[in-house]
Amino acid sequence: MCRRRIKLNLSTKLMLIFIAFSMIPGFMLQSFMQRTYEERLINNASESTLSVLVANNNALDVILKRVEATSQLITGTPLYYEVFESYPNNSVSQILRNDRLVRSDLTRKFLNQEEVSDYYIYTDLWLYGHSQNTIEATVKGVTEAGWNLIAREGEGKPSWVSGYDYGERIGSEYLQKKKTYDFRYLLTMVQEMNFQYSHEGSYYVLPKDIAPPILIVHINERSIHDLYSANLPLQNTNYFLVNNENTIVSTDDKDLQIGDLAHHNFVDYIGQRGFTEYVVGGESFLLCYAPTTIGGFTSFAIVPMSTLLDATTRELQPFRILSFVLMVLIAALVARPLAGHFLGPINRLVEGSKKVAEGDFQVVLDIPQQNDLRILTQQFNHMIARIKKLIHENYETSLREKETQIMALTTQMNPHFLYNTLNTINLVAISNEDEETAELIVSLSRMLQYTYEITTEYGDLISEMQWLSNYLTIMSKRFSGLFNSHINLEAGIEHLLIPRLILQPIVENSILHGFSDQTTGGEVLICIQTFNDKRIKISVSDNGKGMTEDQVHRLLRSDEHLVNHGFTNIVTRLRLIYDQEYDLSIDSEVGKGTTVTLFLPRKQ
Amino acid sequence: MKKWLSMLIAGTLVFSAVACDTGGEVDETTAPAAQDGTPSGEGAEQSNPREIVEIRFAEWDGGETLEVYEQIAENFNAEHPTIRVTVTNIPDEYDTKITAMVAGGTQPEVALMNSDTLLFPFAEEGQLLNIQEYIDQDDDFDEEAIGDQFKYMLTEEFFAGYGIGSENIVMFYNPALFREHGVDEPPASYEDAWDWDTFVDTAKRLTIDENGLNAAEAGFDPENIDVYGVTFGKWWPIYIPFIASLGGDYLTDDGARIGYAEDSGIEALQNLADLVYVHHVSPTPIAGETMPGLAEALATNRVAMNFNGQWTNATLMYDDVDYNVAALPTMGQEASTVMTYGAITLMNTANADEAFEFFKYIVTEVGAAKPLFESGLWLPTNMHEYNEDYIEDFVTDKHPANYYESIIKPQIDGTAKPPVPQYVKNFNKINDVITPALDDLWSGERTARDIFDEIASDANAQVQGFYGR
Repeated sequence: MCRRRIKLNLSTKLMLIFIAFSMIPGFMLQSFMQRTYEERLINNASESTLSVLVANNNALDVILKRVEATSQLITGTPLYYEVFESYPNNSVSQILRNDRLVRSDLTRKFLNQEEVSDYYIYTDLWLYGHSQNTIEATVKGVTEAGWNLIAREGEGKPSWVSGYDYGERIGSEYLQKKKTYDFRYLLTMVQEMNFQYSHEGSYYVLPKDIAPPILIVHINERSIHDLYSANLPLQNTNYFLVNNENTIVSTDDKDLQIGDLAHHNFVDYIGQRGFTEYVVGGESFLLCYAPTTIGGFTSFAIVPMSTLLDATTRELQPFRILSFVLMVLIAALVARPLAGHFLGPINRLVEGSKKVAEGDFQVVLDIPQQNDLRILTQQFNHMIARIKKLIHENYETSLREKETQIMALTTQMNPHFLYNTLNTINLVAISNEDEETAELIVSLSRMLQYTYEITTEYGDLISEMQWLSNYLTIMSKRFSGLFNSHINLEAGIEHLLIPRLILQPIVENSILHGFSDQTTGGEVLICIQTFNDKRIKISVSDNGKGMTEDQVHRLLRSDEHLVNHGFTNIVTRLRLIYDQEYDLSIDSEVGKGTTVTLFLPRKQ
Repeated sequence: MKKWLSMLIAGTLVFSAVACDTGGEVDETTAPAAQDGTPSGEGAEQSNPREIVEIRFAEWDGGETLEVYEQIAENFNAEHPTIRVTVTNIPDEYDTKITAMVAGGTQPEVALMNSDTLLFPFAEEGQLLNIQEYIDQDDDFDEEAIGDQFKYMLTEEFFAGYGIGSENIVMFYNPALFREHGVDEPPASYEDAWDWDTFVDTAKRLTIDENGLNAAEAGFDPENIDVYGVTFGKWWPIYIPFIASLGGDYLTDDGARIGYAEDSGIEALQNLADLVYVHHVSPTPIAGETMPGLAEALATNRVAMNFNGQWTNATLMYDDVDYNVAALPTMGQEASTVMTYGAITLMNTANADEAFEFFKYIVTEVGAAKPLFESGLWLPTNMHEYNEDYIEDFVTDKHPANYYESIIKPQIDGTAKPPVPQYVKNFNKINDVITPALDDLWSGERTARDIFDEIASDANAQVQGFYGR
């Protein structure tokens, strides 16, 4: 299967990019807002959870306080003094009757305390006032649980026993096996009851020699559970009521049982009030804590941070979506003109490129105002101009080469006939003992041979200098006694290449024009040497009449058709061959002479 | 162009920021309302064009029974959109609390009543409405669902309450102990009920001291008993079946004197006391203070037999105790037992018509309380529920093997007598004399005859005869 890439045009891409980029700060801002909001939310939640916890504690305090107050009231009720005044000596029937009296009075005393599920007064032989319908209790169970000892330690003050399993505490294997029963978890107050009261100036108190009976009051943990779990403000919140030993007294956490030790972190906060954040197993929680005033309990509420934050995320969701849609919408609206703004010049560039591709090099684009695209468009225009020029130059070079070849071919038409003729003339001149003529003819013949043989653009320096030497020989015969010539070729560079016959017009210029006003004493010096390792310096000097500045200027201006066609040709050729890589200078002083200097690249 | 563009982008961001912030603020205003913990919304000011009449139904049972009551109320409410019944659960000190409510004028419209305490006194004082008047006004009322034995009639005309959740007295026993000691298990049917001697002999053989000797053996140590042959509660429903088996009743037939002071009454009570102090097969009160509850006592082999209310089945079945039920033994010619049940009553309130609708529903709707029949707690009091098919339907695998024979059948064939408070006037006052006096009997300090010789006249002074006769 071939993967197809969705082809989007530039304006769409631009629009998408713009939208994408406008999202980034948007989202950053949004997440910043969310974080701020979350912090505020966590703080609010902490405060409110703590206040609920405190309110729950107050409610629990009220319950516990009422139990303690009722116990206090019972201590001073004459009935109990009378029942227990000499209870160890009571007969069973007295016990049975007293039991009924105590039950009836206790019932009245605890009538409106709905959280209290059972109450009775313990003595070694009998549980007074115990109702068989509620919590199963026996004398043995109480001693097994150790409540009598705890009460004795309290010496008449109420003690709260909490965070225990009833069946386990009273040593009932049956209840331990049963596990689920209404009164498994209780909050128990035990108090030694030193019954006493005063009446009409007489003070009645239990005799010292009898052990004070013990009041036992059970509050079912379920009512505490209902109290705490009903009021927690946030979902997934767990509460823990722990006692001084950090034992769980009541909780709605299903994973933990009453009687278990609470998380060791809690120890630090027992008896304290406040809230903190803590981490367990990589998850962080909000922990609120507050103590009760009675019973030495501390209640804790644990809220997973994720709950708080999930809620925030949910609450912010509509606004996130709204702002997202708005941002996309506005970005799209903005992107359209923006894309047009960028794309106008680019489209013009594209159009221009198309025209150029079709061969129209006359394209010149309007320069737009924006900086970047202005440069781009300028560069485009410049590039097209350069291409146009290069094409032109290439075209001319190849044309000229062809011309040269045609010319060469034309002149080669019958070189052998020409050589043979020149040889014949040479032989005639020798037989007439005209050595001068013979010499001229040999030079001419060699010149012609070099000219005809080579059709390429370049010739090596040694061949070129031989050819020039032949030429000078002929010219010196023609203008007998007018000038002397010298060629200085630096040793070792004979094989370097220069454009063929490039020096002839310069030399010719010196002879024909430099020495035009004299008949003798002319000197032509040709020097060829390397220059800077990369270039060859060729100078042609004469001591002729020289030129004015104006004349020199005119000579160098190749585009003007002057008398001296040869010199113009040189300039044109050099430019075609070397482009900018050559230098041509003319130093001339009227009456002193002229030096034409050429710098050419070294070419092997 | 550039400037315009950047301003526009900035604008977008500001807008989205504002949108975020608005979100925050909206939440700020809603969050505290949800957090202040007041149960606002629910139940508050639901302005409804049709006024809904609130009916409170007071009862004392918690746990599963409460759940069933709540289900009944829910079902009723669904069928009666203008009435809303709520269950008021008063788990303990029911009578005291109901009395306090009546005193404060906040009594519930429908209430369960303990017949032995509140029902007739309230009816006499005009706190209860005559159900018969409402039945007569209602053409749809299915009178065939009503059984006479469950009616609480203050007079022949005044229908004060109707029993729901009948529970009769039965013997519970621990088959494992019978098997262990090679003793025959008690008969299921009242027709085959043990006579008292057989029962006492059996109880002796099942009462084991710490040396492993039973109460019938020489050298048995009555001071250190590990397993008791029988335990029973010390209250009228336990005494009455035995008194009845000797031909007596709570009152003499003429309704003039207490039956306890008759020969039959004295014999029955003395026989029961002798189980403790003569035969040593039942614990003394002091020993009883160390005995666990019945379920645990049966399950842990602390006791072999027990006379108790049939409602105990619910706990035993729930606790999965291995036990069975049997006919109570007889002390005389004819074995007998007694029913107990609470009564549903209409209290004197302004919304009596709606209260009666609920009464009608709970009393005549077949199957309304079926889960409680299935749990072993109750027997039906709707006469339509006494047919073989329906009984078979609610007796489960968990019910003890003799459930039908020992518990349901006496209810149908008349072996189970109506509860004493249903027909004895001034029952509470009479009992207030008798009960403390009997402490001397249960403590083994005096004989029944001595006691009643002393208190019979005081008790008889409280006797006022029968209701509805």
